[in-house]
Amino acid sequence: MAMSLAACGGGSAGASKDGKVTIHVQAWKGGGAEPANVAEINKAFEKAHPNIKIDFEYITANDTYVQKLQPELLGGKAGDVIMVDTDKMKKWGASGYLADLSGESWASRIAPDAKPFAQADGKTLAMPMELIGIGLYANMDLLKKAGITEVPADWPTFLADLAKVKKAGIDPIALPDKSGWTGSSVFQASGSTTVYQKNKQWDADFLDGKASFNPDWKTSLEQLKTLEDKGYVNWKNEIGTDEWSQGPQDFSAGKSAFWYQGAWQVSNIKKAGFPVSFAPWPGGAEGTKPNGMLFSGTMWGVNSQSQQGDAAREYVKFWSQNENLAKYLEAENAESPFTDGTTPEATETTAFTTAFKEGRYRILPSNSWYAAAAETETGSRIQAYLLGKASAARTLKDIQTAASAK
Amino acid sequence: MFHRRRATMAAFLLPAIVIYGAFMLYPLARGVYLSMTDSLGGPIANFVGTEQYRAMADDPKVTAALWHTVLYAAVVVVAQNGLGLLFASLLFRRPKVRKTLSVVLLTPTLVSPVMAAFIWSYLFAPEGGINALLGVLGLDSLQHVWLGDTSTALYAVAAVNVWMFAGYSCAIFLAGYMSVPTDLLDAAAVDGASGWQRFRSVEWPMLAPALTVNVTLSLIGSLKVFEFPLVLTNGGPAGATDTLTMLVYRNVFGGGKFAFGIAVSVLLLVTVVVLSSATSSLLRLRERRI
Repeated sequence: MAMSLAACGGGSAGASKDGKVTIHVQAWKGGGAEPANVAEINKAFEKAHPNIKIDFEYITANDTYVQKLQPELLGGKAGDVIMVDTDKMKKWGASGYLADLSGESWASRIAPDAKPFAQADGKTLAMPMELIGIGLYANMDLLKKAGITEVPADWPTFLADLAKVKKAGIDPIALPDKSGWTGSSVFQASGSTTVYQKNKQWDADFLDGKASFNPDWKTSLEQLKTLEDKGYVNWKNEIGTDEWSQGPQDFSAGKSAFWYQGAWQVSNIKKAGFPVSFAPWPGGAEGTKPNGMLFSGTMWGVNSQSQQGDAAREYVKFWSQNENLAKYLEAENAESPFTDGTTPEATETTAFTTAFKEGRYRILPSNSWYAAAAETETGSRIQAYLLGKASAARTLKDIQTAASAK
Repeated sequence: MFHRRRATMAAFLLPAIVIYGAFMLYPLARGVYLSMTDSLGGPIANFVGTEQYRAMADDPKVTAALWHTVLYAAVVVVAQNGLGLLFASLLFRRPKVRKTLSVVLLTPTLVSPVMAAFIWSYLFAPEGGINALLGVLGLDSLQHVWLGDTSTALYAVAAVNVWMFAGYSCAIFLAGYMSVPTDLLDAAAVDGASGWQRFRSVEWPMLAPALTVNVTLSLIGSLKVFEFPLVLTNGGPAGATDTLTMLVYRNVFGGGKFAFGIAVSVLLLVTVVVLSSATSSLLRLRERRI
């Protein structure tokens, strides 16, 4: 039945009498709180391609997006161009839903670091749109009140700054973790410095059975606990607070000096009116510079069942061009995933982009051991650790098991 | 003549059988089949026998989720029906305010469960409405991180379920009360029975059919709970509110383990059928004995 439905073809109705074709584009950016300049880029595309009309559909991110797309793909009714991330690219690619884009002109321009996140089984199945940072936000007004003029770069300085801020009567740091994302992500961000500066090949070593979480990630895990031991966070409170709704609201309201989130929030936080800085998690030893943690975020895939394959590929190609993609990267405060790409500059993200330009970064291995299931499990195990329900050794062992699961 | 009658009956039943088969039996059979494949959700699915069920048996998350589901259902069934009975009993004795208060009690059931859970997530937040209220009342010592503590999170989620559907149970009990013959109540009053004696000896036995309906419905509903843990806790903290439906959802939609998720849904189906059938049978047996 699935095969016969698939034969119906995906996307829009196709070409009209006047020769114009309509392509259906589905994405979790370009609407809601993250317009991300998608409408402007789509308009520019239609202007440059008068024979192609875009039927753009914004769908809420994460679970809602998958719930809608999964049955549509199975029934052959999904869009001609669909937004994916590495995890979705891998799953939907394995099911044969994504067209092979290896022959496209932009495929050879993908930066070597970004390439594995857009490929599966040697085929390029998606066009990466960004490499986006996840790190530490600082409210520079509140830091100034505590006598701090710049964002901390190493762990001892960070702890000292948190102490100063607390002494000034300001809530030092907000790490809302209801869904387990923040704990898991800070663990990764800290490890980006503490683990990967020692061994850049850690992921490969782990997959080869030559490296393990205990003891390599112990420092990263313990940093989370230290924040509570020193009185800077109350993990029970943080685990009772939602990172996606209450977190941005509270930080925008100036309730804490530091906060942890992705660079996609910079545009929203800027609206709060105070000077903000977005920097890598300062997890390293005294005097060291931290590694930034980047996430291979959104990508465009072409539905293998699309009846408008050429137009869909043209759309993706348009996005790959620097002058078009730059508008998206600017809104996202992200880095370009192309070797010759242009990364927009913003004062708020200077600390992060400097780390990127200096090569001090690591990309989350979301296509290998840190896929969605391992991420969720890591978040849950870290919650148990932070609530005192599991030791550090037990937690690292559980994370190892989750990361090793096939 | 007899055969013609049977043929006519069969002809009338046929559309219902076809619809039931197409929309109930076929999906069920298909689901059981998919749970015995390695499907990722796409058209490719290889038969792997009982592999998913063996993986399920070895997975402590499934055992924990099964326990959370049963515990959650037990808490909800007792609390929801206890409160429903209490409200119905009070309303039965206060005919003047019965209509108004019935509407008030039923109002939460009209709210979408997702919306209700979303509102309650703000109320349960560390600086949310419940802790603020406790502070105002001078009960600071009772303030708590309701959703951030593994020992309270499941009960907090269950409390929202009870808040939402206690009025529904109350309405069914109230309907049961209305069917109690007034002669019996009058006779008990003439005999000098106290309020508690009337309840225990007359009303409670007469409410047996309403109890059967209420317990069965609330049991099935709470075993299948999904929206409340999803929105309030997303299964956390540390998996403390992971229920079977959450595992199904996470594996089918998020984890890419489609067939495994379907196998968990088969386990949920079996759990619901076994527990609800057993409870319903016991309660009906009790009805007959009264």
